[in-house]
Amino acid sequence: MTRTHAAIWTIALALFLGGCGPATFILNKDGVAAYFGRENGFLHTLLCDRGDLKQVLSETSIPANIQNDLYRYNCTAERSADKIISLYLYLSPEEKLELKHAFTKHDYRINYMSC
Amino acid sequence: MKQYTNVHGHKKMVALVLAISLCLACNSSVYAAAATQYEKAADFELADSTGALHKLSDYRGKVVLLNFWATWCKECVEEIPSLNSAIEKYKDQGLVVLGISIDREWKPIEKLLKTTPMQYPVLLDHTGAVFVGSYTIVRLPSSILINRDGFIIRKIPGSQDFDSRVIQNMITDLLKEK
Repeated sequence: MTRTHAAIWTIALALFLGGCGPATFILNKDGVAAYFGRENGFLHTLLCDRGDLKQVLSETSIPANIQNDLYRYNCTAERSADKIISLYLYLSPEEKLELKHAFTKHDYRINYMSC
Repeated sequence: MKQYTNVHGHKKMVALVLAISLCLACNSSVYAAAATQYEKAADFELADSTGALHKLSDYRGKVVLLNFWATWCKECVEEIPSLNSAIEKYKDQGLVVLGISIDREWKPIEKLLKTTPMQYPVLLDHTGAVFVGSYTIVRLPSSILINRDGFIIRKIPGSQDFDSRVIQNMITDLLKEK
C-alpha cells in the first residue's frame, strides 16, 4: 500500500468514525467559518452583539426554553461548546433543519453535515 | 537436607503470601482511590407514559443503565433489542434500565412501542433538563452505567450491542458489588 493509499484510507476511516460524532454545523459569513457554538470573535460579534442569533431563533419553532439556552450558552458568560452540542443534538430533525434554514435566510452559509 | 528443603519451601510460601497480600492491598487502594474519583449521578425525576414518576435516587442499591435515545434516531432504535436482552438477563440480579427519550411527546414513542416493545421504563425528557442540563449528552444514543451507590462508572457514547461480552462484563462486575 502506498503512502497515498494509506492517507486516503486514514481520512476515510476518520470520516466514518467521526462523521456522526459530536458536532453541530459550520456557519460561514463573509469568509469566516466556525462550528455553531465554537468560539469565534467575528461570528460572536454578529450572532451576539448584533443580535442575529436571537432573530434567527425567533424564526424557528424551537421551544422557548431551548432558544433561551442556545442564546445563553452561545452569548453569555456561561458560554459552553458542550452545552451547545447537547442542545443541538436535543433538537428534533425538523428543528435542526429549521435552524439551518433560518440562518441561511440571514445570509449565513451552512455547511450541511451528513448527520 | 529434607528439613532444609521444608524450611526453604516455607520461606517461599511466606514470601508468596506476602506478595499476594501486598498486591491485594495495592489493588484495594487503587479501587478506593478510583471510587473517590467517580462522579455522583445527578438525580432527576421523569414521568413514564402512565404518568408515574421515576426518580433516579429511588433506584439506589441497583445498578442503573441510563439509555438516552429518540424515536427519530435509527441507531437508538437498533439498540433496543439488546437492551431488552440485557434487562431480561440481569434484572433479577439488580439491573435497572431507564430509557430516556428526548422526543417532544409520547405519540411517536407509543407508535414505536407497537412494533418494538421495550422491556424497561421509558421516560420522557421533554424539556431537555436531564439530557442537556444534568448530563450534557453530546452523542446519540448514549448510555451511562451507574453503580449501586449512585456513582457514574462508565459513560458509553454511541450505539452499542448490549449483548456483547465487553458490556456484559461491565454490568456483571457492577452487579457483583454489594
